[in-house]
Amino acid sequence: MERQVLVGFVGFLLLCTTARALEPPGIGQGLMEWNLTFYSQNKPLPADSLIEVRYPASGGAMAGQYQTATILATRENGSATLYSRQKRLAVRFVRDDPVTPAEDEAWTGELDLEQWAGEPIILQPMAYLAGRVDGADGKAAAGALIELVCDNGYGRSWNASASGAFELDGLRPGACVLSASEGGLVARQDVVLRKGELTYAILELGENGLLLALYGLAGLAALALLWSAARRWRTERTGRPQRSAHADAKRKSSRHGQAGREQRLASQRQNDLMATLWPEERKIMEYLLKNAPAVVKAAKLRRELLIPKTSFWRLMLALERKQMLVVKKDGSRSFISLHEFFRREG
Amino acid sequence: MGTMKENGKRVLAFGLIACVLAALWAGAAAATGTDGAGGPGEACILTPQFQVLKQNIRSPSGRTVEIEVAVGGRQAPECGPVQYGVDFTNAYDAPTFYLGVSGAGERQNLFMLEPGQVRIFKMYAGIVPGTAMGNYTLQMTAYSEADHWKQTSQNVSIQVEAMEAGDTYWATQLYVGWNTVPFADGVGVFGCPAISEGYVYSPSREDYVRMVREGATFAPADGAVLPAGEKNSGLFVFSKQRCAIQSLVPPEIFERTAVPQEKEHLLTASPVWTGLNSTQLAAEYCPGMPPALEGSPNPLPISLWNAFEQRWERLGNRTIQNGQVLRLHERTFACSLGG
Repeated sequence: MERQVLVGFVGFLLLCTTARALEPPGIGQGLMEWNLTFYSQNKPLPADSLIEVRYPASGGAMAGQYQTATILATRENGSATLYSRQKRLAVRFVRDDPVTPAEDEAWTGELDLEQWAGEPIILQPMAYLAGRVDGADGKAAAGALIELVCDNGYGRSWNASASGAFELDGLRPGACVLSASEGGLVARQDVVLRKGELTYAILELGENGLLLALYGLAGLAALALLWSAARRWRTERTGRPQRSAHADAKRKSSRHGQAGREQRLASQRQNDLMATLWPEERKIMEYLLKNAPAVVKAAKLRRELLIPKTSFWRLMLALERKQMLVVKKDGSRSFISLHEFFRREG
Repeated sequence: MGTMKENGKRVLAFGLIACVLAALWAGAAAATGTDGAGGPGEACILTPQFQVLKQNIRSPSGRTVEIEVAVGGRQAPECGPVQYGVDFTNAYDAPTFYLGVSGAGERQNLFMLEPGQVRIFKMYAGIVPGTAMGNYTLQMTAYSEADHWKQTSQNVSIQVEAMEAGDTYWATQLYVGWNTVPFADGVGVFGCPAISEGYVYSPSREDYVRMVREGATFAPADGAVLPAGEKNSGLFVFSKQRCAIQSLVPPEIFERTAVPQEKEHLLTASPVWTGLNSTQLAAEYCPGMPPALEGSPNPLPISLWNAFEQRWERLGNRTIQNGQVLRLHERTFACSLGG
């Protein structure tokens, strides 16, 4: 609930910042006409899209403060006309889709009428992130270092305010990891930034889970080393390796498994069919029958039967043609199984 | 026993003093009209005096009628100034009309009145073109801002008559984006209710003047006043959707015979200009317009805003249409509207 209220409030603030008096198209002397084309995601903007035109406020473009001057409405192929008295324009174009709660796309830069080649202005999608960092004691973590690392390669780091809050705009949408650290405590959260939407995150600082996991692993490794050293010491003392009861049981079970495995026997019909094959082909079929219904890796089969590669594949083709087996390719690997026709004869 | 009696007397005396003090405090609070929190006290929150100065009005459809009301502060002198408000009540036939109060765009329909002070307000009711003839009732209300239940209302009867035969009809289809709309000061603009503001270009200021929509009419915002020569102009509005705007213009609007043109001017073509090209316009109605340059593709300095394309374009050899907004630029000359 708290999150929803905050999201609504921040969204409202973002909307308020854009609600200013507009200027109609230019009139008067010395007016220049700029024919612009707006693109979004490699496509021209649809007709009747609204683009806010913002010029640097008194603080200037360096301060990142822009003020809405007018709105352009696009026509066919994303075209729009801007009237200005200046040949060089430091400008920010912003598109705000009314469907989403915040501004969706923007382009910031300088246009020079004399050098302008009429290239399209490609609007970049924007996402918003806000939230706060809480300390382990539940109080605000003032000045905590926050880092954002996204799958698309985008990254940014900054510090939380005195109240532990943070707010960023103009971010690239994508799946990201948001982390915060302060005084040896850390917090980490996966966030998904979406175009034209504000994501709100609350980070609660605590012990680093990753470090704890690493400590645990190191402890386990130390125990394993100790056990190994003790075993070696006993071996050296008794002159033969000590077998555990468990290992013996396993070994027995394994032997029993091999002896107890049911040898799959070919039916009379299958034997008749295999009688028509060349000896090499028959060897392959016997191997497959032994392992059926499992699928066998081609490389393994070739190594087991010691068949040269070229001969092997020639044999495979022949057996496939005779509907004895099927070869399935999975990337660079090939798998071989009995053909349905041959299996049915079993 | 004697001590108990004395104690009882003391308690009685204390109680009496407390009662007297409480009564004095209540009286003082009522007299000063404050509730201790700085706002007007209960005694100062009163229903204002209210009177509609003309209660029966006749008007053809498509026109805007002006209704004057007087509001007076009824609070005691000790209360000082108290805030009141005036507005239309959304009752009776209000949905049939475009209603507005002068200055309501800047919240000037809320105002402070000294005790006994009376203020006159102009309220506007635009009668939508095509409204059926008949008698309609509108209700106006004045209230105390601190308590809206302290209100009083009066009715006005408007007899709507048939459209005047001499009226000029202007209709404009608006596209998404910027649009020019024919404009003359005091003329009602109907349709596209989402549009609440517009801009007229003032040659004397060399800048746009923001206009706010008060019911059916557009009036300068922030108390600005349009000079007489700029009362016939063209209005830029921004529309987020396609819609249509219409106006009925009484003939006296075109009796403002000479409209001085300075530098640049937006001007709505009057009905007598219909069908003329720029050369004919210069010859018949704008004698000061500079002659066409021989061989020039743009014979005279007149442009039009193409809302479909969202750009200015020269009038060229095209003929002028009634209600078209023309941009007459970079020259000084005068035109007659032919009224």
